[in-house]
Amino acid sequence: MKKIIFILLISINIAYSQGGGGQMFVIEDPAVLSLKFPLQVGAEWTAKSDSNITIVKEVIGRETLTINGNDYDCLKVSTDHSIVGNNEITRWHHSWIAKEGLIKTMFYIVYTSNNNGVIDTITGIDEIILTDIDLK
Amino acid sequence: MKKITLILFALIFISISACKKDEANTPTGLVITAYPTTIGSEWRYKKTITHIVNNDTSLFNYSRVLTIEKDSTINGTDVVKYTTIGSEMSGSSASFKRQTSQGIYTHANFGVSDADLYFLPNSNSSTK
Repeated sequence: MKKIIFILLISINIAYSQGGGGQMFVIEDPAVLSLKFPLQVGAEWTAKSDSNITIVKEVIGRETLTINGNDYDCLKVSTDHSIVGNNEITRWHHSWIAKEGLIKTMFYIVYTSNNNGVIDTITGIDEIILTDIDLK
Repeated sequence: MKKITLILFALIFISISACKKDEANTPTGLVITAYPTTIGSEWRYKKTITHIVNNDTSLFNYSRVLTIEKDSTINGTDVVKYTTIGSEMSGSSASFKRQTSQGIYTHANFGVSDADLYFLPNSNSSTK
């Protein structure tokens, strides 16, 4: 059972990585407010809201990340996804945004199942971190 | 009694002075009002997926490259195309964004599941 859930989670993860429902071209109407300016600690906005999903973002802090000897002064943006009918899965997403762009993201997904009193917890963590940058 | 009052006033004065000094040392808050949008800019990332099933942990490592490719138009709106290539995908994904003084708007995505789950246009390229 655990193996099946594990494979399922990997599949979900790869599906996310590959664009979910295939290589679809999706027009956002209205457009999604990915980042709201001025971006600063305390800023909060709704990036998208419809009958299926509401995405709320908030700048929850300021952190300096050091990568390859370079310091990036970042704002930490938290994204809250609330998806209708998806109560067993908890997920959240943090992005570290600097003036140079996206420096790091972390995406957590926690799936909890109760099989006759046996609680299984599966956690998936996606981390994307900058290794090199070339700004024109 | 006078001495106690004097000491109390002195303590209050010292406290207020200390607070003012702290305020003066508080760094200015970071405010970002623009995001890089110049064509040709490139970001390289390392992506690590960690799966924990109860106490078993598995790691998967990938790489991805984000590039600002070119200008484009979506429904009459000028946008910039952010393309991502990842090592775990067969193709690329793209996100079409427009920057205004209010922020960055995503007008369309190609190969991205939930719009804007990641700020990055989600993509492909990974090496296990």
